Amino acid sequence: MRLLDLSIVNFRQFYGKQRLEFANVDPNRNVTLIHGYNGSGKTALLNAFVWCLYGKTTDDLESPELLVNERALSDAGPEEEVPIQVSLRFRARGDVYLAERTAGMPKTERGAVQSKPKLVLRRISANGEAESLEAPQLRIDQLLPADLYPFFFFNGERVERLASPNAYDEVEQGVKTLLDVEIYDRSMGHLRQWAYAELAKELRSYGNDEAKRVVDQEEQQRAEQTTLKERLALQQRNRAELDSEIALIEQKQREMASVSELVFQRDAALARHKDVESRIRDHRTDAARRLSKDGYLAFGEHVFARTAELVSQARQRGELPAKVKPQFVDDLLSEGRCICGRPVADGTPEHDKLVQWRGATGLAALEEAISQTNSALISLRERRRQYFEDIARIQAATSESYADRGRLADQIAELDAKIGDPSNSYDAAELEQKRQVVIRRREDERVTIARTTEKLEELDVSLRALQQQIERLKIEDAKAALVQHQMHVVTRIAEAMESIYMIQKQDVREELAKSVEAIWKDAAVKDYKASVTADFRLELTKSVGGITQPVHGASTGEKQVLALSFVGSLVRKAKQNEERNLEEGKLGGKELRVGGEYPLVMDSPFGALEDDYRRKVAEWVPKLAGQVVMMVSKTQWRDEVEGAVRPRVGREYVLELHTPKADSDRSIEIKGSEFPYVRSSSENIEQTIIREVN
Amino acid sequence: MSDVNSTVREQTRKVLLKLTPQEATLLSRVLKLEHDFLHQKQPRIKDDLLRVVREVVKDIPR
Repeated sequence: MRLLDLSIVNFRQFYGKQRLEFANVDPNRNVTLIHGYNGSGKTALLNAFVWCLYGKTTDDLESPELLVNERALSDAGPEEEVPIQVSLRFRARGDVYLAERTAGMPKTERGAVQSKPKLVLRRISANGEAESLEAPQLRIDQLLPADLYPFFFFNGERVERLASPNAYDEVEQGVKTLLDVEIYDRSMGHLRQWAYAELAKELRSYGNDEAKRVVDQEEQQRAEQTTLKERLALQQRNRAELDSEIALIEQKQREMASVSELVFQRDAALARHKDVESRIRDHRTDAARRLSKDGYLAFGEHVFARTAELVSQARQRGELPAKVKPQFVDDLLSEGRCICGRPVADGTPEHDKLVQWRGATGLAALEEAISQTNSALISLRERRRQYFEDIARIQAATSESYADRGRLADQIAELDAKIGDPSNSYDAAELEQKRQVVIRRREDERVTIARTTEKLEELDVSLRALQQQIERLKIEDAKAALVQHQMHVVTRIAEAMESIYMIQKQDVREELAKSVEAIWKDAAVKDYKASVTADFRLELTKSVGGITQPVHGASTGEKQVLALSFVGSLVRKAKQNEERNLEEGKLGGKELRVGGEYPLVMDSPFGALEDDYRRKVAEWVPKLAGQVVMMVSKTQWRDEVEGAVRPRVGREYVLELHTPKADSDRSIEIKGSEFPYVRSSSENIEQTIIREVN
Repeated sequence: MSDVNSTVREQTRKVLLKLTPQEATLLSRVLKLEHDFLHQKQPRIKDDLLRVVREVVKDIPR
């Protein structure tokens, strides 16, 4: 999606009709910069995009039910309806669209209620003709799903929300949808949930008793699976909420002077505990791997000893080593000559003797086999010895880790007790008591999740077995046989979709993680590491004594940079996907991917950031996104930001605030010239006029 | 094009190559259908999905 222009009529601070055009041609000047004093309408402008496209407003817009401009309402006659309109022209997937959302606010004495907004979407042809499209909201959602607008239209001062545990689902969903993974997930779900289930019903109606029985059983288990999956999702959401609750309590405790030192000690102990847990898991994996490779050797000693004994006995009997090699006798017979040079003619006693010898040389082959077995025995015994040595080492390391874990658990319990000691602080103790209650609830939830997961795994195995039974059913009826085949094909492609989904999801996460890490590394002052975890959490970690531990109490600014680096990475990856699509489209694989280019519309993107972060964010945001709209106040547009963004600005505006308060005039210096920023107005109502900076 | 992209494409291609022509056609048709409804949280495409399956899998290959 590429934004072209925005027109607003009587929307919030903006009186009458006003218009902005966006920088959208030169990729090196892709920033539209909008300066605005506090209260001049930066947030309103952000909301104009959101309202136009989705009929919604952001959480930070006060009184969202009053979108009408006050002056327009004041100018209106009694009962007259004041029109409110936002029109956005944009280019998407090769076409130009004009979205227009309109509402009306009647002027009444009793307090007005805004009329229901109406959306019209038109496709504009190359010659300027407009075609009104059916189902406009659906069309817009196809271009940029409503759930995802917070990734593209946001207030920089609140963007850190994406780095909170409550946003994991949102982050994962955003990643899946924008980076083309969602389509595989949905396809396999719908194929299994709908297509397969419906075909199964059909098979049941055509098939024999055996088919009916198996299909019924399969249907019953599938229903159970759906219920369990829903339950698991709920349980996982509960656990995420409990995680957030614990994090919040711990943060409050960190801020309490009386216990903060103890809480930091506990943070470190918890990180070490987590590290030890991870080590124990590694030891188990090592042991399993070692067992799988050489475990059978543990039972081989008897066989090795018996083989060695047999060889020894053969030697004692003089059977080994064999005295004559078969090839040697064969050569003598073929040449008809003895080793002393005398001829050995066929039928002579010498020839008969040689033939007799040839019969006995079979032992040589045995010797060779025994020789090979002997060398293998040496190697196998060495491997067996090494195996026991490795297992002993792994067991020792595991025991040590268990002991460490026990010590750390004691230490954590001791610190919990100290933090919860009312003699330190009554408030901290109360918080600790609450924390322990939430921790117990989280433990219970973890157990419940583990149980549900186990049940789902069992059910999955059982369902696969039933599906195989259905595929193997001997069906005479031709229609039923075709349905059976259709079910087989549906299962096969659902499995293929699942494989592709896993490949793509893993790739997308790894690429995003790398990008977020690189951007963070470039921007951050502290030696923290940013990552996107396997479950799509945005995480900051640090190394303490060689142990990686999560950063507790990261500042709002740090979280904002983390969230911005994530959004930037997401937009860049979506753009790369679109470029890849174009290439693959030429090869005929277009339907397999979507991707796309998305703009970033940011209100106060440098909100709570320190100078270093501001400069870095200002440098990389225009490089990551194809188009950027930035709304900044004078204090946010400081030297370091101006230095980085100025060369990228393609269009620039000032939101000129008119206020009835006397002596409020202020100006803003842009490119060496002064522009009105706030103006005292004789009219009794505040309003904002959009002025382009030429 | 990065190596990572090439690897992902190669892995995806391997999965697709295991499908029969009939299965590959169905996969492509299903993706196209899903793509058109990707924006809807609960798309009503059950009937369309079944229609596509029946159109593509009309007989049992010998």
